[in-house]
Amino acid sequence: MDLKPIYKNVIEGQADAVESGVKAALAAGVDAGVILNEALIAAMDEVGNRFEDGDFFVPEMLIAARAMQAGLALLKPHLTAIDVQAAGKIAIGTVKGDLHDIGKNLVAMMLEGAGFEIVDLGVDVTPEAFVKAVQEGANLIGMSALLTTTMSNMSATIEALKAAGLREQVKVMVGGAPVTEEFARSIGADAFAPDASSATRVARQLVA
Amino acid sequence: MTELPPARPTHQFFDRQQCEVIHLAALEILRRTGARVHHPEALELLREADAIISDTNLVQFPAGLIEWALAQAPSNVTLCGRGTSQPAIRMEGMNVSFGTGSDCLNYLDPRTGEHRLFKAEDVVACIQLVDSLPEIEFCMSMGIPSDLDAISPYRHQAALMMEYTSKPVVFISGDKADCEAIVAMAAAIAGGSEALRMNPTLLCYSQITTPLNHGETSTDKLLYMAELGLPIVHMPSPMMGGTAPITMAGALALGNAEVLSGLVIHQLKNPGAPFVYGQGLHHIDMKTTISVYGAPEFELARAAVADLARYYNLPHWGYAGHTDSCVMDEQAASDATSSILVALLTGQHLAHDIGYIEAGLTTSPEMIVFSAEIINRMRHFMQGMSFDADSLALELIHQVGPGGDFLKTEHTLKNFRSFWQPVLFNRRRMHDWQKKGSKRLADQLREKTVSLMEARQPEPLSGSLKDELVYILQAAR
Repeated sequence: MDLKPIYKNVIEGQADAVESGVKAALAAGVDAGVILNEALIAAMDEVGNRFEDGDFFVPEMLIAARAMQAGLALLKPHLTAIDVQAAGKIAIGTVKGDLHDIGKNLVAMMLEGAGFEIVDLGVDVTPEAFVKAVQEGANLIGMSALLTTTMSNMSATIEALKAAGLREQVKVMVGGAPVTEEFARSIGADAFAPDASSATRVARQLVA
Repeated sequence: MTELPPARPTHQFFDRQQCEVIHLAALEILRRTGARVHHPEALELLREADAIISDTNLVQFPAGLIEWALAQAPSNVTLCGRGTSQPAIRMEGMNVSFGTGSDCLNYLDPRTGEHRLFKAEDVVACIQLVDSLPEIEFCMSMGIPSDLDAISPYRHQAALMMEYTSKPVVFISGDKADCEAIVAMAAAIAGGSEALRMNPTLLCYSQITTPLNHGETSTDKLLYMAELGLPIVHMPSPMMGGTAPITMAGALALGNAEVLSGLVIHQLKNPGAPFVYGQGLHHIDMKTTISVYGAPEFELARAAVADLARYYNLPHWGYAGHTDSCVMDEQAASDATSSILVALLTGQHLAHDIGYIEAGLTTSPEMIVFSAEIINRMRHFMQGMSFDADSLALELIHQVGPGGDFLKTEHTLKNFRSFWQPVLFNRRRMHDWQKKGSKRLADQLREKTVSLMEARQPEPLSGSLKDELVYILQAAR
C-alpha cells in the first residue's frame, strides 16, 4: 500500500486525512511500525528540514505535529515494544523558577513527532523531579529556561543527577533563548539545541 | 462593541495656511519678478492670455491666469502597464508608487564590484531587474549606454524599456524629435495614439531651468506633450544656496513659481491636459558642492512639495531610494530606509531615483534590490492596525485563558502570514547565523541581486512590434 498520501497529509497538517489514511493502512495489514517510521516520522523529518531551511513557519510545523499525533494515537495499540523503544524516552520540562513553556511545548511536540516517547514534566520542575524521571526510565532529559535568573538551575539538576549516581546513564540536553553552546558545556550538559527542529536532530545523535 | 476602521500612520507637514503662504508668494514672484520664456509659440499663447511681456521674453503673470490654469489641470493621472487598460499606477490621494532614476553615466556591477561606464547590456539587465521586482512599479532608464548612439541615446533607452519591461515608463528626451519618436513607439505598442492617450503607458520628464527660465527645448517638449494630451512632469530643481535662496521657504516659493508658470503655458496649449507637479528642491553641499540626496533637508523638501501639490489637487513627483554614498554600504542602506519611509508617510505619488548612489552619478542594482526590501517593509508599517472583532480577538483570549498559549490556535495559523517576513534581513541568532555562513547583509544582498539578474526572462515583445520599434528608431535619425 502506498504510504505517500499519509506522508503528504502530515506535512500539510491534515489531521483527518492522516487518521483515515492510517486506518486504511492498518486495515490493509501494513505493519504499524512501518506506518510510523515511513509515513509519520519521515514526514515530521521533512517538516523539520523545511523549518530549518526557512520554508516552514512555527504554526505550520505545529499543525503538522498535530496531524502526526492524530495518526500516532491510532497506531499506539498496534505498536510493539521494539517500535517504541527505538527512539528513546525523554523527560522534558522548564527548570525550577521558570514558567515560560511555549518553547518547551514546541520541542516536546517535535520530539514526539520524531518518534520519541515524551514525559512532559511541565513547568517549574525541581531537580528532584528530573532525577525521579530518570529513575523511572528516561534515557534523556531536556531542560529549558527563558530567564537568565533560572538558567543556573540547569546545573543544579545536573548536580542532583550526579549525587543520585544517575549521571552516566542519562543524556542531558538544554535550550532556551539565553542558553548558548558555551553555557551548556560549562554546566556539563551533553548537548545544546537552539530551536525545536534542531532539538530533534540533537536528541537522535545523543541516543544513537 | 463599536467597530472602528483601521488606524494608519499619517503625516502632514504643511497645513492649508502654510500652503497658501507659498502659493501667494509664487503669485507675487510671477507678477512682480516674472519669468523668462525662450519660446516664440509659448510667448504668443501668453500674450493672447493677457500676460505682460517686456524685454523680448520676460513674462509677468496675472494671478487670475495662474489660478485659471490650476483649475483646468486634471486632479489625477493614471499610468498603465503594456497592453492593458487597467491602471498600474493611480496618482491620487496618499498613493505612492516607486520607480528607478534615469541617465546615470556609471554602473556599479554587483557581480564584480566594478565601478564603470554603463553599457547597453547593463541597461537591459537593470530594466529586467525592475520588471522582476513587484515593489518597483515604474521604470526610468537608470543608465546612458556608453556603447550606443551618442547623439540620441534617449530614444534607444526608451526602446529598451518598452521592450524589456511591461511596467509604465518615465522617459527623458533630448528634444521634441526624441519625444515624437518615443511616443510613436509607445503608440505602436498600445495600438494607436488614441489608445495611448486613454491608457497612457508613459510619462515625459522635462526640466525648467532655475531660476525662472523656460528654455526653448524643454518648452518644446511641454507644448508637444500638452497637444497630445499625454502626461508630463515639467519641473525645476532649485538648488538652495546656488540657484535658489538657501532658506527653504524662499526656495520652495521660487520653485513653485516656476512650476506654476510652466503649468500656465501647458494649459494654454491644451486646457485639461494631464500635468504632474514636481519640484526637485535640494541644496548644495558647501564642502563638496554636490547636490545632496541624503539629508534631512532633502526629506523635509519632499514633505513640503507633496503637501503643496495636494493643496493644488495635482498628481505629483517624488524621490526615494537614493544616496550620496559611492557604494552600496551602511550609508546607502540608511538613506534608502529613511527616504522610502518619508515617501510613504508624505504620500509622494511617483517616488523615483530608486538605485541612485554617488548623488545620482551611478546606478547600483543592489541598491534597487535593497530598496525593494525596504519598500515591502514600510508598506507593512503603513498598513497600520485593524480594529475589527477578529483583530480584537476577545473570544479567543477568553478561550485560551490565563496561562494558555496562542501558538496552537487556528487564529494564529490563519493570521501569522500578515506579519512582514524579510528576505534579506537576518533573524537568526548567533549560533545559527554562523552555521549558515556568517553572512552580513551586504553578502546576502549581492547574492540575491546576482541571482535575480541571472534568473529573469522577460516576456518578449512580439516580433512585429519589435520590428516597428526598430523602424521608428531608424526613421527618426
